[in-house]
Amino acid sequence: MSGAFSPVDGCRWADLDSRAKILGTMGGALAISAAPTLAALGLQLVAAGAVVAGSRLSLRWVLQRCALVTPFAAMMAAFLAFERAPDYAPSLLVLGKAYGSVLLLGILVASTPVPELVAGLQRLRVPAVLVVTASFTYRYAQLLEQEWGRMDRARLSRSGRTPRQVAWGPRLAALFVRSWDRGERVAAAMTARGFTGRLPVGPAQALRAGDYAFAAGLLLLVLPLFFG
Amino acid sequence: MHIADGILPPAWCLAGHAISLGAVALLGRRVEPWEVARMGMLSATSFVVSMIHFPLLGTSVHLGLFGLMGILLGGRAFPVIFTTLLFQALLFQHGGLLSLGMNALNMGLGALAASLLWRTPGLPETVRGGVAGFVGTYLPALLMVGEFQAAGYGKGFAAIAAVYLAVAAVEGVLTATAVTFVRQAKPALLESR
Repeated sequence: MSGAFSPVDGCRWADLDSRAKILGTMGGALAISAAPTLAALGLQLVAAGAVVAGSRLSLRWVLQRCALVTPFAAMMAAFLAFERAPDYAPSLLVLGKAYGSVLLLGILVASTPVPELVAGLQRLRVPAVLVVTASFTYRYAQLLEQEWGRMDRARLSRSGRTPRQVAWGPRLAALFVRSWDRGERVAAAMTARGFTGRLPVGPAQALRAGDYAFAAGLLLLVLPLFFG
Repeated sequence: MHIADGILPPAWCLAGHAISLGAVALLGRRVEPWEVARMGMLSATSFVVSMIHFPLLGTSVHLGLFGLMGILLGGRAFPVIFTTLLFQALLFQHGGLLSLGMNALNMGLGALAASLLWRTPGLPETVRGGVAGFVGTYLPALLMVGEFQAAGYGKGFAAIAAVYLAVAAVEGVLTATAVTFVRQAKPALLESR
């Protein structure tokens, strides 16, 4: 999992403001999701593909990302194909929209470290409880994954049984109990340091021309809806 | 169970975001600063647990444990689930940013229903835990199937609801045994909400 939290080295859009990338991705995904025809969607996918190509992301990385959504998107497309046969356009639309959104989300993830994403969400006035919870999730997920591994090794060294032979419920509950205890300790330490429920973030820098251009570029994906 | 982007109409996704973020803001108002660390820790735990996959009927499913989250956190499970889903969408492409609101709404409602069932008096704790674990998983599946049917994906999709019966049964058993363990190891967790 450790690699999943890291942006891709060398991604071209890494220096852009996370607010511009979040809003651009959401707007672009919304536009793709609204595509009424295959022609419009085709234009959008070409444009999204061009942005990905300009990102310096490897084709392998992009394909791996697309592969993640394939089982679900293909299943939905298949259901739609059966329902609307012999008109397969709706089915292809669903597939294309799913992959188009994956391309945009991939750009965001590849170019933005998680702390920057969280700070961007905070600056976009997302509810504070969500921002702080997200920050904790990022900070402790890898630690808890290691804790799960340690618990597993301890269990194996004591019982020698394979994972299928033990009760999963108590094992999972034990992880929750440990997390709860850790949460109590962290909360006490944070309260002692004057934590008020909000994360301190530095003053927001003004968006630069490049930020506006990137967000506007993705929002232009709305154009094929009118001309496609 | 994660709805990907592009599957549901965009207006539905925007409505899902509006309702989910509204619920997060509403429930977040009553969260004390010292509670946030605990919520974040359980969100991280939920994220880690969601990476554990089980083989089922030739495919694999991962745990959600929305019922257990509802039991442990009550209404606070909603923002926690929203956060977990955000990370799953960003890092593993489970769902998407646009459909995040709908996914959070489906699964958050499952956790809220589980929380209410857990508080139902008159039944043994293990039974309540099992039922809450089952409903916490099956209600989101039913909501998702209903949304797909309403969006025009056809009645055949209802067959998926039958598959999720097995998943929900597994989660019910896991939650019941987990609750029994927590009662013995740290009963304060079950009484904090």
